[in-house]
Amino acid sequence: MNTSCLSLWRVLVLVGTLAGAARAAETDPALRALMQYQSGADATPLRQFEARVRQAVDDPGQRAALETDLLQVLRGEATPEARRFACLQLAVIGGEASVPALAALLRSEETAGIAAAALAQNPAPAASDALRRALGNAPAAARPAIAHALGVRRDTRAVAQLNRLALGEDRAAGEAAITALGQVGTAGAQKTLAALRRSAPPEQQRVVAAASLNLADTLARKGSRKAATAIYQDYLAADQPADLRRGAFGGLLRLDRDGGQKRAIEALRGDDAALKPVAIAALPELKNAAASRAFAAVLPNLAPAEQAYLLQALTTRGDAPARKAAQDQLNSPHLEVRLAAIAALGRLGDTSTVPALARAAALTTNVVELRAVETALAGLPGDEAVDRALAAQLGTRAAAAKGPLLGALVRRARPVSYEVFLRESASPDAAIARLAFQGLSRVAGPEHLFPMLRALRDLRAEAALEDAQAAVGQALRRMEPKGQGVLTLTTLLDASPPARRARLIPPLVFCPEPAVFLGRVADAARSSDPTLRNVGLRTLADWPDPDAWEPLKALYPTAASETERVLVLRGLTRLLGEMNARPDAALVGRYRELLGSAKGDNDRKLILGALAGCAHPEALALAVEQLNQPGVRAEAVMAVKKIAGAIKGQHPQAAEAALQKVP
Amino acid sequence: MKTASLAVNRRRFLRRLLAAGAAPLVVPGRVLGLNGAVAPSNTIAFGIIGVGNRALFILPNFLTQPDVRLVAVSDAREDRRRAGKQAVDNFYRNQACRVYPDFRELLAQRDIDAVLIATGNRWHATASMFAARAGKDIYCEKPISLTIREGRQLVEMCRRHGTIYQAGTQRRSTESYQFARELVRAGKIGRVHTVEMQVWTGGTVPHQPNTPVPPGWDYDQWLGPVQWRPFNPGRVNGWAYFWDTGEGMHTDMGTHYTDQMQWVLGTDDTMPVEFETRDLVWPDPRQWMSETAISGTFLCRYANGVEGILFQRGGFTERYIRYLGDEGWVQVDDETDVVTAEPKSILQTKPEGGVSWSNASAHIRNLLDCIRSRRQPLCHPEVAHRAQAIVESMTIAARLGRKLKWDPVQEVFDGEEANRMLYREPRAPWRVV
Repeated sequence: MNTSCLSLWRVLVLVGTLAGAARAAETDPALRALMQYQSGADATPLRQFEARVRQAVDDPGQRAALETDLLQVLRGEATPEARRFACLQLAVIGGEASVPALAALLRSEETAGIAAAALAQNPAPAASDALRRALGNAPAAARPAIAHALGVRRDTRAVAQLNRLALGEDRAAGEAAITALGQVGTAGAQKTLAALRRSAPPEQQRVVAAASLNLADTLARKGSRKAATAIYQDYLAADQPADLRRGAFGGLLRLDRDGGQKRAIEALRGDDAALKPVAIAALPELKNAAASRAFAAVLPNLAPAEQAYLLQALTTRGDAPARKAAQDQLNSPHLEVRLAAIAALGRLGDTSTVPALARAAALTTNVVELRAVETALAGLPGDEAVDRALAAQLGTRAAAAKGPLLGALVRRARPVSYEVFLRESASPDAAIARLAFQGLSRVAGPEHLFPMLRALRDLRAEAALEDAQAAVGQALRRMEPKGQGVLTLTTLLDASPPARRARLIPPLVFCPEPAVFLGRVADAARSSDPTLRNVGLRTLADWPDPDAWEPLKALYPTAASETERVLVLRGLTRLLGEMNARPDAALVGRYRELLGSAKGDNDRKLILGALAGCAHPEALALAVEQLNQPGVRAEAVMAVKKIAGAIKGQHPQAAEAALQKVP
Repeated sequence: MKTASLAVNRRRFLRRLLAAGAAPLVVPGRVLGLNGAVAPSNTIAFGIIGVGNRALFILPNFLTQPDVRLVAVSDAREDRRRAGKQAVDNFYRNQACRVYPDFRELLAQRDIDAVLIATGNRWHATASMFAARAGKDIYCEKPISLTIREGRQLVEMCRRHGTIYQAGTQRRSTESYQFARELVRAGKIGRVHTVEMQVWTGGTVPHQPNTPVPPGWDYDQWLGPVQWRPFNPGRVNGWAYFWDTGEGMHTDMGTHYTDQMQWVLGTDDTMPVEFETRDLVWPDPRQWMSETAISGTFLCRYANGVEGILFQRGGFTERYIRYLGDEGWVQVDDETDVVTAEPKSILQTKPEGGVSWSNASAHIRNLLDCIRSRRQPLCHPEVAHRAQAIVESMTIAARLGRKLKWDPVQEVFDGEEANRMLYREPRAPWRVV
């Protein structure tokens, strides 16, 4: 069939299709609804056609029918939104049959964009022909979209037209054409872009650069190394912006048969700072096994920031030269280099690295560096052998250098470190003792409870006491409720002199059943030893449940000092506040009792603060009674308002009556 | 012994105890960075493209960096330009912040080194490529693109221009997520076989008629690369739920979790090879104009058999990612940053402290350090693209209603229609490559 016969056949098919489509629009309500669609209306027609797209994926018959219907939307009296929708679907399923109707839309600047987008995706060669034909006659506003579509299609036959646009006066169309030429990449396109690199106005040079570098990448992929190199070299020139120079240099490295190793090493030996990061970035991808050694050799010549970056790149290679380079740089005079070396060894090292990192910790007082050593040691690959090596180093180090080593052991949290933690818990250095207890809290099992408690009792670093108690509390939480631990604890409490026993009291609140020890805490609160008594009172005042009410109440009238009395009162008030969750007459009775024993307005204010949270009518009555006390009237008013507000649903009259009495 | 040293307040004690349960650091924690005054010549000048709610939320994280200077804002909406300028000027106590209705003018300023892109999702890739072409470094909010092909174009554009680009998937800089990764990578839950992720139920937008463009809006600029359609308040305000402006919640938020999945599995340089969807619930078109799924299950499978399951269901606060292995599991609750696991014992090494993902300072610090050193940031374009391509592949599987096979090297599907959905031609003149 010759070309004219083919065209005639296409026209006949088209006429037939059109006639069929026109009939379909008349009879198909869904199609008619789609053609009339506007935002705000029922979107069912759109969803129906999307469903047809899904069905058409596996069914060529349905696909043809769908395409025909969508073309009817383009050709008939359809809303702009319907046409847009149809073009978006045709971008996915449209074939050669769609080309004429889409081509017709290229003639209007309103519809050229959606049509060009659909044609850009159309697999039929005719789509390129249509776009090319349209480009010459399309309205100016439509040309950028058409030029872009030709670029997407990499239409080599469009180069002459694109060249004209690129070199023409219409800036928008020209930039679109330049971008398209970067994609098409023929010799003609290369030539035009080369000319533009020399002659384009400054405001267009960025567009030319993007297109040229895109073209260079394409040429490189196709094996046109010489042409690609020429473009990269243009942008490597010293007068080009740094970002383009870096991009071009990266392109050249990728072109090199050795992956860019030689060129990168040369750059690192040179003085062009803009290129060095790109040279370093090439290292991880190099196939040459000797690359790490070659790069490591130039490391000392680099600026500190570059050295740090190179160490990071070497780390990704993970080989022996990389590890050696990192170890060498542990002694660098520059902090950022040492930090990079430490981090590298944390990933590449093993048991044998421990002494070097321990030495690094001993040589610095910089907290960031110490933390880096700790992190590196904590993550050092290897099992318990690393922990043992760390323990060995601990024994040889002064207290100042022990911190990162012990901190790493804590973070590694392996049971093998238990003995180390126990030994170091006796350190007179608070930071070391603190870490040791934290380690114990992590690795200690039930069988270790007694030594751990004894370590707390005999603690030498007074400043670490609260942390040590917290750590013991953590271990106590894991204790069996009625197990051996209770006996252990009781034995130790009984066997310890008062001042030492005091250290064991606060963690008791964290036992699974604290009530077991409530009596012992109450005993402590009554002790004649002031230290033990103070700790006992404070622990009781902070007791986690209302069981402490009775012992606290018993202590209240007999407090040895005003300080202790206030301490007990605060404990009682706190417990009342916690009991507010279940308000009843008995609770109000406790409030009344406490108010009755108050020694002054400050006491009453404290109690009223808690009473305000007791949502009970008798609590309201008690608060109302306090309105007569001038020294606490403000607090009483607040309590009345709050209680009345809380109970007004259940007791509206009582609430209303009470509110009548307050301003 | 002083009595006072024994004083214990239970709540204070409890705090200490909780801290003791976390990993102690011998060295007090301190954020690395450039402290103190920074010479003006050593600051990095930023412009903002898109000054909506997200930009204003993240802005303090930039403003408080000692070596950053915000110098200009750009937005298609006049009210947002004004709000952006006011926020910047209030911080610096001057009136120096410049305002550009068209971001291309902002990009043409030679004194601007880098940009924060916080536009609507439709603009992210296009604006990023314009910025890279202009020689600017970039922090761009997620999702980095709305089609797989434009994501790849962005990767190549940044490479060709030597651009330092950080995607706003800041959970890589968040301690809770880092800890979960450490646990998985250290083999604490054995071999990972499944990654569960959950984003919240998607929104719906009721039908409403088109209206005139409000005063102060450059609607054409607002649309940008999206093919033109009339101004509609529902579509404009609910852009997240339309295919060409948002692609729905599993794409918008899901990319945070697929990014984590890729990072934790160590698959940043590749992707899953299969995608499918189940149980999709679509908006009733009689009631809603929005297009994207309300809920559903989006699945992917890696070549080694590991499965990713992204649920779009439940409430906003129910977001999570969970790694399931043959010896346990690890989960990060996104709302609270709490890490849970089974066996619980593996949580003992959890580091002390850490800020929520909602504080992006560390992520931004990473970008700034990389701008100086020219290293690749944590979420450089390649990893961001791969994470994003996963959710976009799920979208294509959902829209075509079929299971798709994917070649992560060639970046093509096993079906023609799916491959034609790899890309939507942007409206002229917004194509960059």
